Amino acid sequence: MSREKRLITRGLGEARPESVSDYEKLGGFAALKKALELPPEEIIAEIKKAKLLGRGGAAYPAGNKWEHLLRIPERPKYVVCNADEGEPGTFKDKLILDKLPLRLVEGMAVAGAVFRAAGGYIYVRGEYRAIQKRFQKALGSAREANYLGRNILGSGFDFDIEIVSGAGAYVCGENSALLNSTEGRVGRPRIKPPHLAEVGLFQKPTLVNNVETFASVPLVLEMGGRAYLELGHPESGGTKLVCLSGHVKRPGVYEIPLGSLTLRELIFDSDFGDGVPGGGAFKFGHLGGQSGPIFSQEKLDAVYSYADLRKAGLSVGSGAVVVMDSSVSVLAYLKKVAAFFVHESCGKCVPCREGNRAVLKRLSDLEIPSALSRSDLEDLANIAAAMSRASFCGLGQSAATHLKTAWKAFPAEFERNLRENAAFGAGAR
Amino acid sequence: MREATPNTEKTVNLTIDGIPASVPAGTSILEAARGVGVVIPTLCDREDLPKRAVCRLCVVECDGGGRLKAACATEVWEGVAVATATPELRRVRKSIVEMLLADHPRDCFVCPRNLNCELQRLAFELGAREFPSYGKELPPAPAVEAGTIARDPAKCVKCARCVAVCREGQKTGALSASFRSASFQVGPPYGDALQDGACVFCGRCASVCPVGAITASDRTDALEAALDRTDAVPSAVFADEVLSGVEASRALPPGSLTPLKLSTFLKLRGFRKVYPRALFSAAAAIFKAETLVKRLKDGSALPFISFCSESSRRFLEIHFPDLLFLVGPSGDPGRLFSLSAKKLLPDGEKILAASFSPSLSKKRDALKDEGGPLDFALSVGELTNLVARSGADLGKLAESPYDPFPLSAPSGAEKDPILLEAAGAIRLLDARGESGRILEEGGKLGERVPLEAAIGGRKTNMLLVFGLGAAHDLFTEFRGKPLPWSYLRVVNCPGGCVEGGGQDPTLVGKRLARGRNVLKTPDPRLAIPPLPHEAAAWDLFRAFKERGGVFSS
Ligand SMILES: Cc1cc2nc3c(=O)[nH]c(=O)nc-3n(C[C@H](O)[C@H](O)[C@H](O)COP(=O)(O)O)c2cc1C
Ligand code: SF4
Ligand code: SF4
Ligand code: SF4
Ligand code: FES
Repeated sequence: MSREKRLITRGLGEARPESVSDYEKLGGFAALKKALELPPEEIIAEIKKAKLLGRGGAAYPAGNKWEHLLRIPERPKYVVCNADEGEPGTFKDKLILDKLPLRLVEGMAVAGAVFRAAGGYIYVRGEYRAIQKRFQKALGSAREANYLGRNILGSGFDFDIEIVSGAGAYVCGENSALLNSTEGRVGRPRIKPPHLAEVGLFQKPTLVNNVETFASVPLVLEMGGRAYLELGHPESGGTKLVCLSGHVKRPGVYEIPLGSLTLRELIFDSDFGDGVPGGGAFKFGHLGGQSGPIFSQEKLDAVYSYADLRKAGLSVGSGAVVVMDSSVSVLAYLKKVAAFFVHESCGKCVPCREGNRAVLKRLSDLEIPSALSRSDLEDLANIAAAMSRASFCGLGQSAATHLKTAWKAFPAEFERNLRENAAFGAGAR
Repeated sequence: MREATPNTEKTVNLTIDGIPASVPAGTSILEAARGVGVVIPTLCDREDLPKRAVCRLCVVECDGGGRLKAACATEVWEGVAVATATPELRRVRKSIVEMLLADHPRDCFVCPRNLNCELQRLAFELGAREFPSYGKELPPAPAVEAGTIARDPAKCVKCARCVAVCREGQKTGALSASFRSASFQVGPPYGDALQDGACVFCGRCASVCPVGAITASDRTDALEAALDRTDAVPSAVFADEVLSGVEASRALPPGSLTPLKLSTFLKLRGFRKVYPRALFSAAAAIFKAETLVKRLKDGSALPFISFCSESSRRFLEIHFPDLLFLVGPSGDPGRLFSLSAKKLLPDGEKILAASFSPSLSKKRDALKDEGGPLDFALSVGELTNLVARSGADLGKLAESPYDPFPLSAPSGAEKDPILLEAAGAIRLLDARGESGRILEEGGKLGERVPLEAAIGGRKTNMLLVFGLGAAHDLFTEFRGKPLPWSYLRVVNCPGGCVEGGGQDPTLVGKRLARGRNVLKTPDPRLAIPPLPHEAAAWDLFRAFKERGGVFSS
């Protein structure tokens, strides 16, 4: 018996993605009906009870975010779904968009109803071109059934969702850059505050949530906040879609209750990753995409929940779990990650624009015997600290996480070639 | 623009490095800290520009932990305890400035901003003592000079001040930030040359650039060579607005350098003649008055829009082409000086005419009409270079009078009182635009200054607008409606010509420049003083015309 818990993924592979009637048979659109009838405060109270944390990476409590927006009197308000899914190793939003689109539509419509929003936008990763078309179909069938459009189910409330296609910039997943890009501006982050709840899309109050967050909302309303909470971890209710990839035998998306499994179980148990293929040995894992932490086998027994991973110095992030076996060089891997950030930095602030390049250069230097001294290594630590602490947005703030965590897990890799440590003559070329 | 009116009803109490402070709600941590004597290092921030918070040097710690905050872009809140110089913050700042140094050209000795560069100062103050060795291997972008603006992208620290001042301050929109990561760059969009885009060559970008990446072009060498010529008669006029820049660069007390001391210096340095610029300003005003009076008579093409330079036409071409037909001459006294000297003076053909002014756009005008009247349109930078290279101690120089401008054939033609009335009003308004913003008694800055003049017994409304951004707002406000003025003077720079693109950039926005604070609130019904140098200016005007001179710019 699998320890997966099919909540978001209920009906996956059975129901036709864009069929409203199939989705209704699974209990679909009951939550939207509730949201159209109940006062918004009650809906939000359930989400708060559920302790639903944002699934986009930052793990901000959805209920608090909704409450904040509800308190803002200014109108119109907008609901925006972040479907940029830019973190390498993350492909769970894709599954929802492609195979379970109506659950997402319902989640966004619930938000629309709660805030009596003027409109909804979904910003979809540009590379998901084909999926965008299929999602468009799902929107069409929801409109036909009057779950979107004018006077939804006779409630007098109008709401519709428009697809905006990204164009390949990772930073456009950052919520303020995403709004700039949606508006047709350059996709670079905005200064915050003002909070997006106050000055968001078109300078109006705006809610931005991740695909999986929105898709979880109907489930919270269906089972009630308390039941949803109890299903997961006491500090973060419900299930999480985990994306397993890299050197595992069974890569894929798995839905698990938060707090129910260790990293080791996720990677090695036969109903999940089923271990490293080809007889290789586990060397390290990378959580939550390129911006997340790297861990060695020492941390394999950490439990997969927001709180437990945080205690272990790790984080859930987007839900990516990338596994690397012993054939992979830590420095070579880090260089790939650093190169990713060098490519994706928007370039407007100094610590991120210059820091990522410095990190990449230093990682390359570390592979060369005697290229660097101990004081160069100290400089590198300071650069990483400046990036994490002083960068303008989350991209730069998390762009040194891979470096810092890998350094802790594999200190020898950083020391081996230092001038003081390299065997005399070893670096002679 | 940063709001100059924080919500003053509410006071916020906080501490900065343990020092208690009370400031109006809406104040930034940076300003609050300055108020109690704590100076947080900054690079991208400027009081007079919208905040961008991109250099990250000003990060501070609030309430003992959490995310660091950019002091320039974070407003104070009640009870917050701000720490500005913890060991961590000092390390972070030093790392940041080192990152900027890693790729910076090591050209300080030969950089136009040597000794007054903000990056140089920060590197020193933050304790950087070595260039890091992780610099990029990107090929440096080549330096380019367009018109009067020299750009050296390799020196750019990407603070985006220039973009902010051009897009949001001047609303000219000639610069933008493009590409990402290490390729992030500022410049004219699509890699165009500056002169092919929306640039009006106001030079505001050069004024705000903290480093030597955008500077006013420098013709000191050519000027020195010209002064060495024995077959020429180098002759000069200068605007009083250059004085404060020279004072600042030579560390002279403000106000100590009088025009007549500078005149002595110019003579020492090889100018054979130094004439009072005011004479040519007055005569130029009469030429402009001709245009105004004619249009008033015809009742057509009003208001007569007069920019401070011809190059500003571009602004209308790009943004308000429907108003182009209203543009009339700018009336540059430097050019009129040159034209009349060459035409009217006995050894006119030998004259090398130079005009010093803080306006960079006038310099652009002079360059544009090649072989045009003015041999040297010079800005404050060239003047201070001349002073520095001579080693003269200006403080100790005596005053010497201006040379009289000798008219070979003084005209006896009778004065035209209406023309002179109009010229007086024009000159008053133009002078206000040159000397800077007018501060009301209470210190409020006004971007539009009205003047009500009686010309030939007829009430005539005039308006002075400070800065192209303000002009953009005005023309937008009146789009599709008649502009209810007869004469509309637009000076490119929001601080007036005294804070022009050719002023010492370290003075611009600092309210130090001469001319600021001098004028009181203008009373729109104030009696208009007679045109200065009226008699001489009239004679010049007549003589110039009698000799077939044309002055239409
Ligand atoms: C550089 C960067 C990239 C991001 N990319 C994504 C993304 O692709 N998808 C996403 O949902 N959130 C992404 N985020 C997080 C969002 O900024 C934001 O926190 C999230 O959309 C909020 O939704 P949630 O609270 O439902 O998680 C990114 C953040 C940063 C700083
Ligand atoms: S940290 Fe700075 S450079 Fe990096 S993406 Fe964010 S704003 Fe752009
Ligand atoms: S000179 Fe003026 S218009 Fe031209 S780029 Fe600079 S600020 Fe913009
Ligand atoms: S050119 Fe100067 S003002 Fe513009 S971004 Fe570069 S350093 Fe800043
Ligand atoms: S001065 Fe605050 S970020 Fe640059």
